[in-house]
Amino acid sequence: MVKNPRETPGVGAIRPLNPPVPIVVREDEHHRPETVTLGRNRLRVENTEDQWEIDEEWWRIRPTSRAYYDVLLEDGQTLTIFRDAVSGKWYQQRYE
Amino acid sequence: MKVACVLVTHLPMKAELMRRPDLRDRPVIVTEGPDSKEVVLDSSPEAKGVVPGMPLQEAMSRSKAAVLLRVDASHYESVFTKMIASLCQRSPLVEKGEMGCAYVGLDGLEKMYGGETRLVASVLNAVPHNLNPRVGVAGGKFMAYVAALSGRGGQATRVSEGGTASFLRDLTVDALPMPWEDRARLRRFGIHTIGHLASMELGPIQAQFGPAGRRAWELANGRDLSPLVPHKAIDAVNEYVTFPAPTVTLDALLVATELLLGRAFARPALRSRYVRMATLEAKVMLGAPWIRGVAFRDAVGGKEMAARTLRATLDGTVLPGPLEDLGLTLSGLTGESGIQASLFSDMRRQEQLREMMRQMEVRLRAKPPVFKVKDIEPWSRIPERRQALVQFDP
Repeated sequence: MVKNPRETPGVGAIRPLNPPVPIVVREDEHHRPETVTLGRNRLRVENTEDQWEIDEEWWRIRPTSRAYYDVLLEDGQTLTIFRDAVSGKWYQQRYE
Repeated sequence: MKVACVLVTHLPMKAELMRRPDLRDRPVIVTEGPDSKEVVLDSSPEAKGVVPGMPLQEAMSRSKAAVLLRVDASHYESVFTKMIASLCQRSPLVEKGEMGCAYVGLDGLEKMYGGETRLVASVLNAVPHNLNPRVGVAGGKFMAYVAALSGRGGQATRVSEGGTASFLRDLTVDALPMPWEDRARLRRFGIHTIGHLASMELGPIQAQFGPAGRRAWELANGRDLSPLVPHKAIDAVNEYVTFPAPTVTLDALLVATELLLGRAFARPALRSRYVRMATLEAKVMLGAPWIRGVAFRDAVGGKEMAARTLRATLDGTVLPGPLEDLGLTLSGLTGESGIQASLFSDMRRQEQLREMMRQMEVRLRAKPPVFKVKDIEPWSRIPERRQALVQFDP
């Protein structure tokens, strides 16, 4: 007979890789990013280099609906950010 | 069996004077033990009233002007090893006794050297004169030792076959290789000399002192059958470098270590050979020498591999003070000229990983935070769904 180890069954913690990181973004009336705050610096978005949307798992209670932007900031760096259409919050995330 | 005992008394002191001639004719005390409990290991004749084993405070009160030196065991061992190596060139049978004492087998060598006198002179000359060795020649190890002990520096004392009893008769029982308690008991029984012990019956002595008593009685009667155990030389490669200025940085130590490794592995002695052990030794300014030994898990056959291991071992080392020089000894030489690769290299790697995880778990006392990237839904458009970190379990 196998002894009950009285431990929660499982394979150990699985940590998501590349999870979205909340970020402060000021948007215009069309929900497009105008400025991005990185640390203490609020940086103006110079250009939107790419834009795409994903709408997945619409059958779920909480579907995934995101609008991604590859933005060029005024200091020269590019960033991939998205707006969660469900919550209206902004996140930064690497997208390859 | 004809044996010569080569005895260098006060070897630590003499070894110190060899490298510090400026201390000659001055009271010098060599100390050992932790800082709070330092005791005298050896002293020069000028340090009057100081004996080995005496607490340092007492020694200092007896010889106030004495120069204090910390024990440098590796230096003494190196002097002693050189002495043994030199004796090994005189005779094929040399036994390494306690520090400063060696036994040399003389049988069959007289003709080669042109007589016993020349042979003994050659043995005496094998040891540097500033170590002031004494030599005793007799038919056994114990007799040869006693002969050397009762002789004078730079001279040889010979005990003939028939003269053993008369030679030993008046010597005190302190010369016998017995525990201190047994010698004290012998005195309590009124036995103060070896001659007195020899005149006793074996039975009562053996009854009182057991096997040690029997051996002492046999030695007192000139019976010594203990064989010579030949010294086996340890193959090692030494390299040495002096720093331009005393250094306290680990970077300088690592650079010097790599330099020494390069030199050592370029030596013909290490061609097609692997080493199992590395010892780093440095003289510390105004302090005891710094020594660090590293045993390689797998024998290494090149500078790069050895340097990598040494660098990892030395990482985070706190040096005891400014280092003046650095010596490297590579020992445990093997004849291995290559390492057998596993047919199942993946299994071998898994085994190594498992062992590494086990060691980390012991060190951290918890599951090590090591994760593996696993593809979960690599086709997903949602980036965080594609891959995940899972606990690494080889």
